[in-house]
Amino acid sequence: MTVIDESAPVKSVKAKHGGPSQLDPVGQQTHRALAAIPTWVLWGLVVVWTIPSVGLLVNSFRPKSQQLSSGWWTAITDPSFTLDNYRQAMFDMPGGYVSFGKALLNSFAIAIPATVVPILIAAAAAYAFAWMPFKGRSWLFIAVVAMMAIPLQMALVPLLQLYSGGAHMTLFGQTFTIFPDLNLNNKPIAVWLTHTAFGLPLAIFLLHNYISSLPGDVFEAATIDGANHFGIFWRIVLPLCKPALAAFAIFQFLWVWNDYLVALIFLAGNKDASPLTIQLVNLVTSKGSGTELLPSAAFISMIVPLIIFFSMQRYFVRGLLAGSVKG
Amino acid sequence: MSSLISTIVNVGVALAVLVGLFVLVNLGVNKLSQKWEDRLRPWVFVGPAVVFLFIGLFVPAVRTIYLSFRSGLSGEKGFTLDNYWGTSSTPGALRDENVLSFNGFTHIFTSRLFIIGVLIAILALFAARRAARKATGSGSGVDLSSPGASLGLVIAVILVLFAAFTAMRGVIWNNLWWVAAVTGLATLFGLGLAVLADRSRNETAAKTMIFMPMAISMVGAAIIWSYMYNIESSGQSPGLLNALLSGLGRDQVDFLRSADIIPWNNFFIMIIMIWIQTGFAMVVLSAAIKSVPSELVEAAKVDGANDVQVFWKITLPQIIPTLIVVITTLIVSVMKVFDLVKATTNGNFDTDVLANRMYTNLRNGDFTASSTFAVIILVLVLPVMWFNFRRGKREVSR
Amino acid sequence: MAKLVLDGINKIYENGYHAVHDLSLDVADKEFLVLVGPSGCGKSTALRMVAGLESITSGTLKIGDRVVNDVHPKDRDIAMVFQNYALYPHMTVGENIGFALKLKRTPRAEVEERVREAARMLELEEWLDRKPGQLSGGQRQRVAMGRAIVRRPSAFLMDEPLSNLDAKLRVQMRADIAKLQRNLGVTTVYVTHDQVEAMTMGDRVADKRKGYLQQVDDPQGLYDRPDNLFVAAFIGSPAMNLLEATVAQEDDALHLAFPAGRIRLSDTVLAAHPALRDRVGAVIAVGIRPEDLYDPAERPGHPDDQIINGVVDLREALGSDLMVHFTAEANRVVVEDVREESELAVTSAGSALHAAPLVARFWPRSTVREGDRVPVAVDTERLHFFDLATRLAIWS
Repeated sequence: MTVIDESAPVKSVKAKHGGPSQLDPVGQQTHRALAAIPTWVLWGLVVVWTIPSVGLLVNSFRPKSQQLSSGWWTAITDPSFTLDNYRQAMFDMPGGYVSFGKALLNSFAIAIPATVVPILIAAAAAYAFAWMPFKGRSWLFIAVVAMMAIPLQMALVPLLQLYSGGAHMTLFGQTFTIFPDLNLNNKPIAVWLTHTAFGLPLAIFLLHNYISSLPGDVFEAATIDGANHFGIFWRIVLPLCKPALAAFAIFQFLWVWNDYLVALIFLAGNKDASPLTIQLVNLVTSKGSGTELLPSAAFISMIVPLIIFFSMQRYFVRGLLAGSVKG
Repeated sequence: MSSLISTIVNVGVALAVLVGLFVLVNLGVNKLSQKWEDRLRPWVFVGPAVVFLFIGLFVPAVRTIYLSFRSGLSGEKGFTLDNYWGTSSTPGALRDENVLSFNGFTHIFTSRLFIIGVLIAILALFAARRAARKATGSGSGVDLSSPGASLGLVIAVILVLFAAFTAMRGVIWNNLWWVAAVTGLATLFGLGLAVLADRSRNETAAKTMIFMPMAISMVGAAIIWSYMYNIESSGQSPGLLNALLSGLGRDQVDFLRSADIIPWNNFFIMIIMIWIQTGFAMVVLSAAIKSVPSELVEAAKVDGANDVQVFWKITLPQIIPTLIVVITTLIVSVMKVFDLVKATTNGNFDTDVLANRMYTNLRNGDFTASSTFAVIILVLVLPVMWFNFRRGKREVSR
Repeated sequence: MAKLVLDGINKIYENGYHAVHDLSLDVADKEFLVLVGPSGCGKSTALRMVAGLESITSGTLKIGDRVVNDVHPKDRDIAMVFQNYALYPHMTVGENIGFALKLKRTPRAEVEERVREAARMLELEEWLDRKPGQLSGGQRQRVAMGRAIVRRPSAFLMDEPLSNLDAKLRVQMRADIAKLQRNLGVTTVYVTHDQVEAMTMGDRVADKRKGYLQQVDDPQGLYDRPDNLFVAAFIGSPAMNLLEATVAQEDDALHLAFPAGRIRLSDTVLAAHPALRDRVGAVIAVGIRPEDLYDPAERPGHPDDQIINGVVDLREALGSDLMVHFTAEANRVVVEDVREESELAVTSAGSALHAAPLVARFWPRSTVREGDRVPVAVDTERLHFFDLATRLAIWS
């Protein structure tokens, strides 16, 4: 439950370690050369770090025959690229696999609601926890935040039973149904609901931090202007929270998009609704036909996170730092 | 195309219903008297969250603990401790030799890693003693905070832990090995890269490239690394590492599956996680290093400190709270590792971990055994969470 | 437009803190009433109770003829200007000003018309499409004013609206707000800790301290006839000099005896303060405004027995005046809690130490030099007398 100070400046204001200017020319040259060493080492490591990804990217464009016969680096001397892998993976998977175009849609269909729903619910709760007085507010808030400590695994078995059998209780020889059997297993909604529950504690915690730091007199001014709590929430809080909402939205979206475990448990039996991660592992483990499509399929699964990563890095880092404690 | 439309419609309708419900209830509350409005409104706002958390997280967690103490596949047969301990023929989780065994205990002390680790520790202690002598001018005490000594000790501890986890086998040892290796190495690399970046040009671009694996799924990362580890076979070209081995005239190795390489295949999966998490550690620590007031660094330089001393005596002490955050965060997330193992070896070849055990039992319909493994993960994570919570409280009260 | 009546209002917080004691105030229609006092005196709490942002523990609050104790803020027909302006950061200036009207479902055309009118009054027309973040402090302040006036409420409530502006702008806005209030003729309660604002803006000023109302009067009355030591010390800048003195009878005349010497009280003084005769032999507090201490050279013929001697510590030439800080042999009366700090109301600086720092307003041509021992003339007719025990002014 640690929070990293999001306000810590990411951009350096510190001067770089420049050398003393009064050195003789030779000394200056040596100094400059020495000062460049960290840069060289850093970029060397960057290359090492990037090689695996580059390998996959290169392979995803290589024709089947080459992929199976030689490593991706041979493309340097013997370049031959095709978009056919992507076309096949997206629309025309061989061997009875669901196409990755379909899986991509499934991933969106899971990730968008599983992001929007918890955000709305959490924002309302966070506003109430921050600015509405009511009995038991503080202990309820502590209880909610404490749930961040519960590992995901702790809820999976009972949820699986709940979704496919409901909850019943036998009292004095009679069975009461507490929760009806909604037969949700292997439907996307089971995954939404699960991710919503898991995302809430962190979302409430983050948004509460943000909302409680908003100046209270703005809410008082709105009260006098004639807004009630609902109006304040809708017209003042939500618009003001955009940065925090964006940070959490990106974190939660990527979390759900990249999730494998929850989808595997609640959705693996329904190939037509399975997200990218499930389809990818199916393709990996079955070592049969279509392995040459694995690199392009993997890249299809990564393209959305990478776009978000490169275009919204500021929010991404912020959400990630803040959410680094998620269960 | 029709599936696209139906997806959009489904999602849209669900969201609209949810928002509409919230708005309607609030409009209803608007109509109430002031007194009842003030009384009811907070619950309209926290209500949905509380219901979701209660049904979706709290009750299930309690039930998981309950199930772990029940017998029968779905807990229908009464209370028992067998899920944890059991009999020698049907051992519970903690009695199962595949989960927790101390058989290899004596092998620890004969392993090369252990001996090297102890040697490094001794050298580190010598360095510490020398540092203390240099600082005080007299021959007493050790200074463990000197650069050589503390770095040496950290490496020694990692080596000894590796010796222990390669000697003693079992799912829980695997998990602890994961935690030690990934947390230790990702933090060390991350710190090193953050320091390096602080002194480099174009650091933002470099950091972005190293941070990038954080954005993609573990499944994707596993696939990326399969093109490093693959062994040449019919219908499969060699991965980069095996190609290098061939190039050096050595035999190719099946890094993840070979019987000869067990238990080190675990470490090759861990490398993927380290590859991912180093970026996280680096970004967090880099932000912390940048937030150290530059006057502090400049004052130390004016006082005659060199770069190493500045880092060791000024920067490092300032970022220790952040280091603790990084370490605890990594411990908690690595303890729950699942995707990588599932996508690489499926838990075979001695690479199984707790979360995968939990999953396999769930798939086999043994809900009580599955719950037991979930509870074991909880118990292992709880001390770290508790430590975090205490620290957070102390920081808030300050 | 309406009058505002506070009758025996109390505020006691859940933790037992009693912030406002039995506050009774009548604010007439169209009146500009300033509530002034050091921080923590309960003036903001009182204002927030009028606004409906704090509940009223006991007492009645009327706006117009309506008791509004339990009326929601939005239904009290008041507008408030906050210390930090409380502008909605995500809305433009125009949207900020028109927000209350929009919530009341006023037709769009009318909203626009009234926003434009308010903006014209405040010279904000060209900024209507900006966000508050792009405005200067003074402009933001005016937007906050605009948000209040656009509603045409029956009362304005202003909570230290100028405290975030720099000194020069504050002087300007002081005049602007007072002028605007007079033009609109809206009953206004204005809270400030700055007694200069209180004196310059208010029709009447209510002085508070530690939750108790001290005195309500028009600015000059508050200055000339402070009811008690606290008001005397709080109102006026530089502050009133307060000294301990023994009332002594000698040759049929009353004197004030200081360690430094004596000052004869004329018959006019005694006629104004007949109760002084009952205090012969008693120690009282004497208050002297700086302008009532002057250079004897300024007014030749000043009686010799109405002079106090002191050593000049510092002269501050202000151009029009010369502020002379000097030390006289006397005991100072310290009224704490005037300047934020603390506790105790009245203490003496200790009898062993007969050195009181005083401030006098000399004419600019005075030739006194730092370090000189000089005579300082006292205008006895304008002296203030207070009982040290009750702290109340001594009149009849």
